[in-house]
Amino acid sequence: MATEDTPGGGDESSPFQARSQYDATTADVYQQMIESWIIAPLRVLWDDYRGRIGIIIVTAYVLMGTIGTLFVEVPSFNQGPSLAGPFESMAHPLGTTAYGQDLLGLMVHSTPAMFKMMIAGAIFGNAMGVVVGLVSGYMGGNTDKVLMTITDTMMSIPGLPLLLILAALIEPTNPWLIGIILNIQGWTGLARAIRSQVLPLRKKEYVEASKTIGQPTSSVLTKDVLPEMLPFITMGFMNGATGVIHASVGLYFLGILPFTNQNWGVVLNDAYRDSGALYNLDAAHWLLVPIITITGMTFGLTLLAQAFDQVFNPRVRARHQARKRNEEEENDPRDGDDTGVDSIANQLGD
Amino acid sequence: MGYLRNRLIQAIITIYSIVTLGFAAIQLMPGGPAAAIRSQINSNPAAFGLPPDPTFEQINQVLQERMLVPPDQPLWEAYLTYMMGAFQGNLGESIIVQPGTSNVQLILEAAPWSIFLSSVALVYGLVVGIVLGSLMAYYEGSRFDVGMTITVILNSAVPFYIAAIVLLYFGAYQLGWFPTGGRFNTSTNPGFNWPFIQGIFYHAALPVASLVITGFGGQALSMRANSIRILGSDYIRVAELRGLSSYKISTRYLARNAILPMYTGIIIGLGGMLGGTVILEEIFAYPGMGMLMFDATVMRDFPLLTANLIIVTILFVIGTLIADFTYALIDPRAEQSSMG
Repeated sequence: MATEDTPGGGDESSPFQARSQYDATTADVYQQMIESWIIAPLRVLWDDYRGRIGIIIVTAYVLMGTIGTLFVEVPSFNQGPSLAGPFESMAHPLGTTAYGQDLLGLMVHSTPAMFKMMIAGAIFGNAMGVVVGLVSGYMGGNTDKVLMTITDTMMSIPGLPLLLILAALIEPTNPWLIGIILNIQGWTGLARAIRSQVLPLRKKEYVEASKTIGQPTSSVLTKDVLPEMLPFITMGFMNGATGVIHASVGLYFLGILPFTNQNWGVVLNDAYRDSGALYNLDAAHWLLVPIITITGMTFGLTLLAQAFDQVFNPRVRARHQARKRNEEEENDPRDGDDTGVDSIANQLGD
Repeated sequence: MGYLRNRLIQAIITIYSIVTLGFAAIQLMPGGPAAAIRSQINSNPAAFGLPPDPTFEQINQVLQERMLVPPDQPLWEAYLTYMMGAFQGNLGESIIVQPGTSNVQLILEAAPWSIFLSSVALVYGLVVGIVLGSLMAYYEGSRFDVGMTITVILNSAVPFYIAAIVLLYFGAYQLGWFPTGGRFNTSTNPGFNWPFIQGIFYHAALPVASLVITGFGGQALSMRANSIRILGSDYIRVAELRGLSSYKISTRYLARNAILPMYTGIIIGLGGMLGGTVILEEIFAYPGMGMLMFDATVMRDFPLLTANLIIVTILFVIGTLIADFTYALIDPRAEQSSMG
């Protein structure tokens, strides 16, 4: 070995004195981060059929809420004939309500507020869940006891009745605020999950090491512990967003949230309350259009959440690849003796 | 028994907090509790059993009965009075929905209907979920498994009230197979007779169906995951080697262990369903607890609304406690680990 030949010399072949071949610029670092945190997971998601469908659906809704609002007219009363059927005219591709509002416009212009609610609710739920879970699991002792008692209490209050009271008391109109209220209990499950994950982590060597060299608690938590929690945080985000959609449409449908925002639930409420709509087969599209819009959105999010399992769980990924490989082998028996990663994947799959 | 003791303490804390929250909600109601009721009384004295032009003392008298708390009392005293009343099972009187009726009485009359709906839906959902989940696990990786998984995901992406509206629209209004509302056939005599009971199930069919259709997915998926995990374990292999019949293996060795982790979720699910009945009962015009809660919210009858929240929470907490206490009975390992 070269190091033994020249002890103590400034030789570059010593592993302790090796310098990198080139200096990484800030741009390189960011590129690396984007590569490993955004591109790679997206590629894994895209490889899974559920992930692909989920990404397409959610992107479609995002486009509808951003660009779509520029192209589709803001809906108003009597902008078209009453109860025009769907797919009959270009002016109202999805038909109109009994009040002559364009259903496509109603759907499109409800989307931005819906996304605001989802983002506010999911971020609030995640932030609370992460902070409470991390602090509780890492600190232990009385802090843990108090925080978990609060979490359990919050968890045991039935969701919808609590939302009714809060909606009646606050009468919120701001979509960001509505999102937070609707996900007011969303953090409890996440906090519990993260706490139980952090408890064993406290004893891990690298966490102990960081503590020993005098890193402050906050930095240990964010740098060593938090990255391990990423799967839970992503899942929490998806669940939070889905929960907010269900709750907001439900409460708008009941007519308990003030009707200042356009919402899919408001359309549903109009169709349900309108005396003729339920008896009238010509009004079916008035009910079905919002129903399909809501279901499509939650379906996309659910699929995406399922596919994220593959991003975070290499074992699941290996299993799926092994299964795919097996199917290919059945088709082409000559391609049977692979070695390396795929054979490991095959073993894991069995 | 440390674990069970902790659960009991937690239950007491939860109930105490929710009653406090209820008190806070009543105090925070728009315009203050007393002012809200005072204006109610002034606009319609007859509904409160008062002469057309009630005196101030008469109004205060009624106020105290409704609110359980004398008006113009300092906050801490009002809190004590309210808590004492709640402890004795008195949660005040309804102020708008049915003025003058005790909240607890109103809710207890409506509760059995909601509990009936939720528990029937729970049982059906469980049966469908368990059967489907074990079939999916048995044929893991096959077309049936993949197809059913997608179907089940799609099912659970649908909010139950969407299913309810679709069922109501087609099943009740368009095809006329089921009633559009109510909870029993009004032309039958309430009592223990067949036409009446038949009517109850007939009216519950659509609400239950919408809960089952959207609810069994989660059960099926967790049953599938549990079964697959257990199918790979050693004791199943040993049982096969011992030459036990596949019926015995699937019922004794597999099913019991696969259903076990779902047990706690079942009772918690019942609590969730009870809360969810607000939307369901409103859609099907089914006068139960949820409908009462809805009316109370729309009419801003805060005492009734908070009483509802408190009672639903207590039911939920009791359910969780039962789950915790009986879990040790069906899974002896739980008790050992909590004692050790």
